[in-house]
Parts: sequence; structure tokens; C-alpha cells
Amino acid sequence: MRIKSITIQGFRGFNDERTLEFHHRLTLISAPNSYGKTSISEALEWLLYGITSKVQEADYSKEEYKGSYRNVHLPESLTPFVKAVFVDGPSEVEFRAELGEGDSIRRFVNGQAAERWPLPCEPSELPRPFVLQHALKRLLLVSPNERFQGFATLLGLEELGHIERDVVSLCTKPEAAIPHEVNELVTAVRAIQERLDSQPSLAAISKAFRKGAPGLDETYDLIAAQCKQRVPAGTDEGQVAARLSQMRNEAVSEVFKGRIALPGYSPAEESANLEDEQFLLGYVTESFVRDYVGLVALATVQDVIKRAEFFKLGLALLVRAPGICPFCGQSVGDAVSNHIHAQHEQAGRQRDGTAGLEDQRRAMEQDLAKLRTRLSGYHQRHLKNAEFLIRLQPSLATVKSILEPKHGSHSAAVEAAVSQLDSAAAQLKGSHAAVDKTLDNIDASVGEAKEDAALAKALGMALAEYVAKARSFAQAISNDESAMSSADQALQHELDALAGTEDIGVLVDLLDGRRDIGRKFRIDETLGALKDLRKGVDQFVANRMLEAISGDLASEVMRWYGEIKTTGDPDVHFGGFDMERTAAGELKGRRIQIKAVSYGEELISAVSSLSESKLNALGLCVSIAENLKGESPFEFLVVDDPIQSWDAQHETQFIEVIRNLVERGKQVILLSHNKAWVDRVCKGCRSLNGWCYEITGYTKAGPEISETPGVKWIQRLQEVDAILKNQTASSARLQQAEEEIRIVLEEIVAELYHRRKGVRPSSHTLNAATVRKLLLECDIEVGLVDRIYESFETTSPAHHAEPGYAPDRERIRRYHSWAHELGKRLEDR
Amino acid sequence: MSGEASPQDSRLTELLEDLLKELSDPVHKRLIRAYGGQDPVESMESELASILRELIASED
Repeated sequence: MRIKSITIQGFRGFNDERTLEFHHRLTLISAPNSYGKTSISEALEWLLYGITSKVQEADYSKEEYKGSYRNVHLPESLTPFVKAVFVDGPSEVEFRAELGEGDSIRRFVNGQAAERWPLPCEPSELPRPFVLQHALKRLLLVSPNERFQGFATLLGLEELGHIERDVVSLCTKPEAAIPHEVNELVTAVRAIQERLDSQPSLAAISKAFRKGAPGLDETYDLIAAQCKQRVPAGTDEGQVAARLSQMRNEAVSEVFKGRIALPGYSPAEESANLEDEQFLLGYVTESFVRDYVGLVALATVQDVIKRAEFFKLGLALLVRAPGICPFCGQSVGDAVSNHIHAQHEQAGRQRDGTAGLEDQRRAMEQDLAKLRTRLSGYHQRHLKNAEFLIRLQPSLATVKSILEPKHGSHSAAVEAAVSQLDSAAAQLKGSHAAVDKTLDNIDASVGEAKEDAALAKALGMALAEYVAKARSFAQAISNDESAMSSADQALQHELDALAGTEDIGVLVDLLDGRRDIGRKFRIDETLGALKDLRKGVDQFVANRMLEAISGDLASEVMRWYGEIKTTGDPDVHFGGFDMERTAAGELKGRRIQIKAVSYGEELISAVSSLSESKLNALGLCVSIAENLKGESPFEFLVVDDPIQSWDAQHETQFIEVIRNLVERGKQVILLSHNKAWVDRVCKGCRSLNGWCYEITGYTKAGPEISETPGVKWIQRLQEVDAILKNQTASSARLQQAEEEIRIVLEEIVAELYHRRKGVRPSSHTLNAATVRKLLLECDIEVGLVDRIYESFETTSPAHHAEPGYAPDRERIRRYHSWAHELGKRLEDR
Repeated sequence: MSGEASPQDSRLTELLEDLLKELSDPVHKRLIRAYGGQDPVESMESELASILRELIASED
């Protein structure tokens, strides 16, 4: 992909819209400093990457660059944009990027909005077609670590650097990965080891223990031997541990009976707590309230039932003494008797119709009973865990006297925990009693059919308050659990000391903790082996980087460096790339060494030995070599101010580098502050064609750019003549010569028209038809116009060779002579 | 979005496979296999945590 033109509006130093056409081989742009020259390369960088390298590298001061892309003088109503037309084979494609809010970018391809550019991959994955001095210094004049990352980026090996960085991070700081339960186990085993180390009688075990996993069997053989010495002779081998433990407990209980225990919740208990809480908090629902309040209808039903029973009894008695009221003895006529029968039937029907309400009441009573059971289970689950510690309250003074002063913090923690849990338990019980009382009221209301919605609401609130208290209580237990366990350990150790059972205590703990000790050793081994992982990754990364920097890249860099260095240079030069090594010869992971040689002797480092100008040259060579290496859709290369701090000889050498790049197929866009040098490049590269621009001024509207005549038409035709006379000139060279004639023709036509009409058409946009039209307007005779028109026969309007094109020396010679003829008209006028 | 791996992903996968060939410790292999995702360090840390949990849960 070559770049045909760039149009910039409101971006960096550009305000008004400006378009620059690029020659397909070489475009030279000169401008004094601060005239907007670098804005051109920045605009192209931003278009492709969405960020300029200057901003990308300003890690620590990105804030200062915010909003810096937009030209401050651009009217608010206008949108800054950069547009470039690329030529890819026979087709053209327009990339347009608009600058949005917060330096965002909107992309358009041929006028259609696009998420990304139509490239084979993200531009950032391709060699960057920019040779920029400030980027080069960053590659070389930085710490070895940053240099490694810079080379990794340049070589497309960023992932290699990332793997190394990430593995080193894990291996040097694995603490974040160690789960809480693993840390607890490690801490507990370390505590046993500390006590073991403090027992002179167990020194041999201590020594074996320190060997870790390899010494585990030896450790336990020694422990077994020590245990055997301490139990009565004849104790069965399988009973040694139990006997030892019993001996210790008996001795210790002489001093103090009791433990500081605050068991936490088991996973099953935690799960049951959650389920109970959901049940309790969701108990008083709208449907509950509706069902409960609905039971009040039972009061009326009670009357109906009584009435039905009353009539039933009356009718039964009337059967015994018909015609006489069984209650008052008065005579009962047929009419009254029928009325009693009717009333009885009606009451019976009413009673049968309310049978459902009775069922509802029974269900409510069962439901409330279930709530009480669930509540009780939940309540007891919390209290039982804390009760053991709370019961320690009367013995607190003794516990304190044992723990203090050595374990003052444990003592204080126990005292505080007992007090807090006691108070929390009292609050929990109070809250539980409140729920109970509300439940009693509800039970009574159901029994008496005096249901009240306010009671249901009170139950809901009491349950919510109770669950909140229970949760706080559980949290208090969780908070203190670990501290109480540590305090208990301290207590046991002090009791061992007081009872004279320290060594036995250690032996018992070693026996009890055998499994955890084995696990801790394996954890140590796993964490310790991370060093080996780091070393392995270091070696892998270093080898990969060494392959990348010492192969083709090194020879290419050396080749370009050879182009720049002059014969007058002292023989102190870049000597290739390597990785730093340890004294044992192993590669160091992230340390790229840039070697230098002084008159055949290796120097420590090019960075400290080479002059700044040579480092600049080296940086340019690395960047150029990288751009020519591998596949890239970009055929252009923007070289921005390459010759800073160079002497005239090196400047001249670099002209050859430019020629070389173009001859190797690169479209070069060269920007420089040094006009004299640009003129020399123009002259030195005259046989390559090319266009020259000069930024001659700068105003609020942006840079004032004018196209300057590079090499006179006559000199260019002389170059063509030289090619034609060279019998060994290749087909490609002849094709270039033919194309050069057409470019010269277009420039002559543009100049003729300018002199005749006072308007200068852009020579870059001319083709056969427009050339013919303009020449006729300039009153050039038709015969010459026809011949000039014929000169364009072997090219398309877009300046591409027609299919089946083959260079023909005679034809080119004819074109050359016609161009010469037309050029003479410039001199005539 | 297509499900195709990006060139970076492919390069990364290739590098990790080559690295795995050079490692012999099964724990190290597990850690490198865990490399990936938005935060590779976090991903490896999570794998290391699993390995350590397995160690304390193992029956010797």
C-alpha cells in the first residue's frame, strides 16, 4: 500500500484544510522548526493508530496531552480530521479519521463508517512505517528492562515480554495467591516448629524437621523414639500417643481445667443458618396476613355453631315431650315447631359452609408451631457455639493470671470476647423473647378468633430484628474465632510450662499434626519451586529474544549501519546484539546487550561507548531494518528529521540510505528541518523522480506549503537519456524512465499553462486527456499536442502500466524527444 | 465478532506451547496452562491457589 495523498484539517499544527500529494517513490518536505512539519507525520500516525507515538510514550504525563490533537484555532463548528488516499495495486482506498470528544476517533473507509481499517491485522501488529528519532533514543538510551520491552514491541514479540513479566510477578510475589486456609495451616505448623526448636531435649527432632519433606520420615522415627521414652514401659506401641496425651492432660488439669474455645460455624451450620434466615425473614407475607386476618370470621361462625347445637338439643328434647317447650314448659304449636325445624336446618347449612375456615385455623396453628421450632433451632445453633466461651467467665481471673504478662494481648482478647459475646447473647435472647411474646399473642388471637393485622405486622418486625441480631452475633463469633484459637494455644503452652509438660506437649502436637506438617512441607516445596519456574521462563524468553536479535535483524542493522558510517569515522562502532549472561554463562531474561567494537576490541556496551550521533544512526538502522523485515502491507516509510546531530559526511551518507530504500521498493516521505540537506537529497536522488515541498511560513491558518522545483526538467530528461544509453539497464529501470518522461511532461504542461493563463493546475492530477486540453488552450500546435498525447498510451489515467506493458527503448526514445520539444516551448516563452 | 483467534492470541498460544515443552514440573505446566484471559497474573494466581488447596485437602 502506497500513500497517494493526505488531507489535514484542525489537527495539531494544521488548521485550514490542506492536502499534500505524495510521489509514489520519494517526497521531500523541508521546514524550519515549529512550522508544522512533524504534524504531517503525527497526522498519519494518528490516522493509522488512533494515537501518536509522542502521546503513547508519555506514560507519566498523558494528562498534559489531553485535547492536544485539536488545533485551538479551528472553529467549534468544524471537525478535525485526517484523510489519506492509499493506492493498493490498481485500486485506491480512502481512510478518513475524525477527531471526536475526549480525543476519540471515528473511522470512515471510502465514506462509510468503519470499526477498523481494512488491513490484514491491526496496524499496531505491523512494523510501524515511521522512523522517528525520539522513538529511537527510547529504544537504546533506557534501562535494559525497558530496552527489552522496546525491542519486543519492535520485533512483534510483545507477548514474550508479557509472559516473562507476568511469571516473574507470580514467582516473586506469590502471597496474593495463597488461600487463607493454607496460610493458617502454615502458621500453625510454624508455631509447632518454634516450640520444638525451644526444647533442648528435642534438638535431634528439630534438626530433622528443618530438612523439610526429605527429612519427614526421619523426624517421625525420632519422635516415636522420644515418645516411647516418656510412657511407662510395656505400653502398647499403638497406644503410645494416647497415653502421652493422657499424661499431659492429667498434669495440666492439676493447674487449670478448661479451654478457651469458640468453635466457628461448620459449613453445614452456615448453610442451615442461611436457610433459616430466609424462612424467618420471608414468613410474614401478604398471603400470611390475609389468611390470618381472614380467621376473624370464625367469631361469627362460633355463634352459628352454638345456635345449631342449641336447636339440635331443643329438637331432641321435643321428641321426648312433643308440644311442650323443654326450656320453659309452655305449649309449642305446629307453627312454632316448624319454625324451630327451619331455624335448625338453616344454622346447620351455615355451619357446614364454614367448615373450610376451621381447617384454615388448624393449618395456621400448625404453621405457627413450625415457626417456633425453626426459630428455636436457629437460636440454639448460635448460642451453643458461644456458650463454652461465655461459661469461662467465672474462671477469667485464673486464665488471665496464667496468660499474663507473657500473653497480655491474648488475655485482653479473651476478656473482651467473653464480655462482648455475653452481652451479644443477652441481646439475642431478649430479641428472641420478643418474638416469642408476639407469637404467644398471635396464638391467643387465633384461639380466641380475635385476629389483628397489627399483630401480624409486629411479628414480621420482631423476626427481622431478631435475624439482624443473630447475624451480628454470628459475625462476632467469626471475628473472635481465630484469636480465641491462638489464645487457647498460648494457654495450653503456658499450662505445659506450669505443669512441666512442655516437651510432652510438643510431642503430642507433632503427633497430632503429622498430616498438616506433611502438607506444609509440600506447600513449601511448591512455593520454593517457583524459583525454578522463573528461571525456566527467563531462559526461554532470553533464548527467543536472542534468536530474534542475532539473526537476520542483526545483519540487516549492520548492513544499514555500514551504509551510514563514513571512511573517516574512528573505528569505534556498533558490534551486534546479544543477551547479557551470568558468570556461569546463562542468559539473563530481560537484558539485551548492544555490543560495540573499538579497533577490534569488544567494548562493554555500545550505549556507554558510542557517540550520540552513532547511537542515532544505530537507532535509525534498527528501525529501518525492522521495516524492511517481514510482511507488511505498508510500502511507505515516513522518515522524520533523521540527521540531527550529524556532521556533513554522515548527512551525505544518509542520502545513499534514502536512495537505497527507494530502490528496494519503499515509498519514502522524508521530512527535515534542514533545507540545504533536503536540496542535496533532491539532487542526489534526481534519477528517482520525486516531489519537493517547502513549508515557507506558519500562521493561525496553519503551515504555508509550496511545491518547489526539485530538479529542472532538462536535468531529468538527461537522467532518462543516460538510462536509455545504458544497454544493461533493466526493464524496471526503463519503465521508470518512461514514467519519468510523463511526469516531466505533466510538469512542463502545468508550467506552460501557468505562464499563459496565470493559474497553475496541479501536475499530479493531470492525465492524457487533461494534458491535451491544456496544451490546446495554450495554443500549442496540434501535431505536437497529438505526439504528447501519444506519450500517455502505455499508461492508464491513474498512471498504472496498461496490461501487457513491456518497455521499448525506441518508443521511450521517441517520447523523450517529444518531451524535449515541449520543454523548449518553456524557454521560447 | 467472529470467533477466530487474533494474531496476538495465536502468537501467544504458540509461545506458551513452546514454553510448555521446555518445562518438566507438572505444577509449573499447570500454571503456564492457566496463563491467559484479561489478567494472566490473576489467572495463574487462581491456579496456584487451587494447587495449594489440593495440597491441604490431599490424603498425604
